[in-house]
Amino acid sequence: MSEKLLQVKNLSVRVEEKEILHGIDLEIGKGETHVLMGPNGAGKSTLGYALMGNPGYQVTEGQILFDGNNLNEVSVSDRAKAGLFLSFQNPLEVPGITLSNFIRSALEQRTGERIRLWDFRKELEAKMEILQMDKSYAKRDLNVGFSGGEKKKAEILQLLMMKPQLAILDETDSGLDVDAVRTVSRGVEEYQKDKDGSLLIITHSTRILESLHVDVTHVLVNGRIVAEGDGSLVNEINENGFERFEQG
Amino acid sequence: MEMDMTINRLPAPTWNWLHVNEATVKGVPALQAGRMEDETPETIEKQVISRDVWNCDNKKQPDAGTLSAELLQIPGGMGADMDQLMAKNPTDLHTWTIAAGVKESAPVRLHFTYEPDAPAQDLIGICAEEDSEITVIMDFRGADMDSAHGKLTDDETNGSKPGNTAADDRVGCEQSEYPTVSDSKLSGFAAIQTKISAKKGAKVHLVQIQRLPENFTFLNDVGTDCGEDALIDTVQVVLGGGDTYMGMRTDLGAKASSLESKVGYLLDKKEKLDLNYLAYHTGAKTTSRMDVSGVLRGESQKLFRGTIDFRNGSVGAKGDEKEDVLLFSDNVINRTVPLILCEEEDVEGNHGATIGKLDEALLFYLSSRGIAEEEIYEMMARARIDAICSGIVDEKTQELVQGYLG
Repeated sequence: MSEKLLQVKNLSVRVEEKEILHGIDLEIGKGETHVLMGPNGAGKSTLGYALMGNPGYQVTEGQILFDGNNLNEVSVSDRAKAGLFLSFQNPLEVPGITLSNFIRSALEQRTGERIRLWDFRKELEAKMEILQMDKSYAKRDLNVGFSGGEKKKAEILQLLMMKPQLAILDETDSGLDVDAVRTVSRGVEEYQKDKDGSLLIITHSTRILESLHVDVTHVLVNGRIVAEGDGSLVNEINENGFERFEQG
Repeated sequence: MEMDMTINRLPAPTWNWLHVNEATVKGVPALQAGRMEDETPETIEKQVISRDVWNCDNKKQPDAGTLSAELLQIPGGMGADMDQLMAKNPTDLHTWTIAAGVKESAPVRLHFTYEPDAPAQDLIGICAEEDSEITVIMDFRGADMDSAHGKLTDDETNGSKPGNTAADDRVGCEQSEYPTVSDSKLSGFAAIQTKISAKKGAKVHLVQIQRLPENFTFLNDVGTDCGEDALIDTVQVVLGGGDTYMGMRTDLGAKASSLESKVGYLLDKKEKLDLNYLAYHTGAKTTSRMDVSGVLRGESQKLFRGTIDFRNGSVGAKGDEKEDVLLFSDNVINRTVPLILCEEEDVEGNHGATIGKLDEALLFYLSSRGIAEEEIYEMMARARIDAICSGIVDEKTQELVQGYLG
């Protein structure tokens, strides 16, 4: 087993007055790809938000350890600086800030150093090419007027530029056509080229997983992890759905 | 002698207790002609019309048919008191005229420098003849910001060299290129009135950048008359000043005439901004658009009156006003009075406003990329101004604003 990057211990999370997650245990090693599957409303996105530190998601019990450090009291931005990344299911539109300026500002904030514009542009354009994104998007306001597919590509572009230690992809493949899923998968593969990059892919479909090697699959039902297995579990769910887990 | 002014009147008053019907400026001092420097392309004719010629001074009206008569009869957005202020004090009318068919891409640059204890006023006229195009960029700043542009090498008011006074200490030192408002200790009063005539098919682009000290009271009035198929496009950015009053009236009397007006502001501390924007549609198929966007911090206050008036004859006209206000403090006061008046049936008037604090979901999204909350607020404030400035084609002005924002 590889060195542990993320350790979630007995994590319970409440949103407003309702407890959504109940005693989650999860471990992700460096360079590993984990998949979190489950039916709608199981709490998958809640786990993603809680790991990223969304203030609306209150940890009532348990610990989130990242690289050995307890993240429970760490701010969202500091979690990102530590190496966590969340690709949003519904990325927000930010008028007035271009995609390019946003990524550059984020990188500079994370490193505390100015980034040379020329180097940045070169790398950005190379990553955009991988994602088959028109270069004009770099100058457009972040996600404003982007189609669903373009928004997801913009998320993966940020992932590739920021090179986090752990990327949580929340339903990145939802609402995308076959070609767009393929392009996004290519981006995820690119991220994985650096074997230190770990992935937690939250999904309830399996399309994005077709070209990826999955190390561990977790099944989340009603806020509890009810089953774990290797990549073959994905195929089983693909064929039979979540019924047997829900009954259990 | 000091005077009290009532300006920025709402065309259709509402309840008095709302305190939005007009603005009162008390104790307006006697004003002198302001200090203005210009850079004018050769294709544009510049004239200085003496006050003795244009000023009625309750005795003499400018001769009918003259440029001064044509420009001065255009009403501004602030109302009669502003006209009286201009007439009362000794001010020449400075005009820039572009001939028919000439399209000049190089802008006229006007630098207004306001000195401490020297209340100033300026009267500007812009005349664009048929099918011409002109850009006028005005920069309003306090005297101790001059080092940024090398305009002031000697202190012209007291003969002293830079560095002789506390305020001037900054002039000779290594400073950031564009001093911030807080760098400047000047206080004072200044007023400017700009009258614009755009003839058939003409395009006038007006850009105004205001970066005045926090103790300044500034009155900025614009009146425009828009001919057939003509366009008047304005971008006004308020980056500093104490109490700022702005008025703009556009008469869209000719067929298919258009107004595009953008205002961006960043207010902080106890700064106040009072706006009165009026678009009068009397011509068929005329269009107007007002975009007002800004940020309120500290204990600042803003009042925006936006009136679109569809009058008889404005068949097929369209008017939009949009506001976007970001509130960064619980102590700010934001007031908005959208007014759409209608005498015609076949017209379209729209108003939209987004007013509030930074959305929590947005804050989380941006934080999740490693950007600290403070920086996010700065980014979003800057984004408001950037969005407004994106309409400025002049790179130098864009840089000036960017440099000022830091």
